[in-house]
Amino acid sequence: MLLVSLLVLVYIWMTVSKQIEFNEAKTMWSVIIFRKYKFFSDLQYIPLVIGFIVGIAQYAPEALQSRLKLTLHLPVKENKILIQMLFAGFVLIGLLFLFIEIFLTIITGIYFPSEIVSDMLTTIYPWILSGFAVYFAIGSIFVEPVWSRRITLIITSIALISILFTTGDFTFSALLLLTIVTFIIPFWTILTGYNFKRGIK
Amino acid sequence: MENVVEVKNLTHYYGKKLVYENLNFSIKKGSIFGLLGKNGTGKTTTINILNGFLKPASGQCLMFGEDSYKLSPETKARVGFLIEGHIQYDFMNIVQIEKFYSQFYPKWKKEPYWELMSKLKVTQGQRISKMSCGQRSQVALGLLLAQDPDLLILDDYSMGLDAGYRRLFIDYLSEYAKAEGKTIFITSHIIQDLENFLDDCVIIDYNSVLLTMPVKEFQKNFRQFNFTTQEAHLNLEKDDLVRNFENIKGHCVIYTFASESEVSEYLTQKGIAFTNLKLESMSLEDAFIGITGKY
Repeated sequence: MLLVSLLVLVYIWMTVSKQIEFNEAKTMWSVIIFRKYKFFSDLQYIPLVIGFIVGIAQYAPEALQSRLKLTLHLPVKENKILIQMLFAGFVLIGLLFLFIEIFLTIITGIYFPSEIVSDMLTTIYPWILSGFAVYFAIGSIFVEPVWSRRITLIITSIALISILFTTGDFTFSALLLLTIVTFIIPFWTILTGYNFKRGIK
Repeated sequence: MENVVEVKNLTHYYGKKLVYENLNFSIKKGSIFGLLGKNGTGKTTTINILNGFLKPASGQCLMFGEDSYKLSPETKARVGFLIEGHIQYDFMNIVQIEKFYSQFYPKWKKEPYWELMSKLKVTQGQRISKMSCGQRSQVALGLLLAQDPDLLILDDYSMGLDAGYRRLFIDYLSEYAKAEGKTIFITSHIIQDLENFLDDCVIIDYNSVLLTMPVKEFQKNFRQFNFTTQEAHLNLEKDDLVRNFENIKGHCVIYTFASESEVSEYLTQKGIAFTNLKLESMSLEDAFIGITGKY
C-alpha cells in the first residue's frame, strides 16, 4: 500500500512538473484557481482503498474463521481488546495517510504558494476521512453477527462515504461534523461486539 | 468438593427451536467431565454459553463462581479454551504465537509448549496455516497447556484428527489432569476415545437432557439385553424401563437401567413371547448409542 501510494504521488509530481514546464507556472496557477483544477485528483480514492484493504485484511479472518472468539477469550476486557484492534488499524492507516499528506504538501509547496497548499489539504481531507470511515465501518460490519444489522451498517457507511466524495467545497462546520460522524463509527464496533457476545443470530 | 462450573436450569432456543430445557450439571474441581451428544444437540451451544459467547434464554452458568456471561479477565486467565476446529492465529508461526500468548497469561509455562513443538516436524518459521490439521491441533494444545489453566474447556478436540493425534491429545490431557486441582470439560463425537478418561458425563439429545451421572455408574447400571421373538414387527415405546429399543427381523435389543429379572417380567407382562434373553457387555460408545439411538 505504501508502494502504491508512493507511485501515485510520484506520478502526480511528474505530471505537475511537466505541466508547468509546458504551460508556464502562471497558466497552471490560473487553471488551478479559476477552473478548480485538482492536479492531485488521482489520489482521490487511494485512502478509501487503503482503509478498505486494511479493514478486510484485519477483520475478515477474525469473523470468518471464528478467531473473534479466541480474541475475546484473551484475559482482557472485551471492549478494551476491540478498541485495541481498531487502534492498531487506525495507527497503521493513519501513518500511511500522514505520509501521503506530507509528500503531497512538499510537492505542492515546491511549485505553488501556501494558499494552494492549504486549499489542497482542505480538498483531500474528506478523502482521508473516507479511508478512516471505511476502515471503522468494516470493523463494525464484520463483528456484527446479525445480517439485517450488517446491511443497515453497510447502507449507512456507503451513504456517509458518498457524502465525503461529493463535489464542491465543504465548509469548516461541515468538515467538523463529518469528522465527528466518522469517529463515532468505532463506537458501533463496541455495540456490535456486545451483540456478538450475546450470540444474537 | 468445590464446583468449578455450575449450570443451573439452562434453557436455550435458536429462534423458536428448543435446543434443550433445564440442563443442570456441576463440574467438581479436579474432575474430567464430558458433554456427550450427537451432532446438533447443543454441545457447542453449551460451550459458547459457558464461555460467555451466548446469552441463554434462561438459567445460569457459573464459572469459578462468576456469571459466565460477565467473566473477569482474571477468571478468563484460569480457563483454557479450545475452539472446535483448533482455531488459532494461523498467520503466525510457532515462535510468534508463543510470544503473543505469553504476554496475556501470568502463569505462562513455555516448557510444555516447546516439548510438544519439538515433536512436530515443522520449522520455527513455518506458518500455522501451512501445517496439517494434526500439527495445528498440537500447537493449540501446547498453547493451552502453557497457559497452565485451572479449567480446560475443549470443544470437539477430535475434529479432523487421526487416531494417533487423538491418542496424543488424550495422553497429554491425562497428564495435565493429574496435576493438582486441574479440571477438564470436554466434548467429542468420538466416544470410544473417552472411555477410561471421563469421570462424569451429561448426555444430551435433541431438545432434552438424557442423563447426568458418573461414567462408571452409567457403564455399570446401563444395560443391553438381547432376545429373539417371533413378532418380526414388535416395537416397544420408550418408558421408565425401556430407554431404547431395536428390532431387526425378530432379533431385539432393549437398552435399560433395569435388571434381567425386571426386563423378563416386563416382557411377560406385555404378553411378548421371547427367548434367549441375554445381557450383552457394552463399551462406553455402545452405551452412548444405546441411550441416544442410532438416528
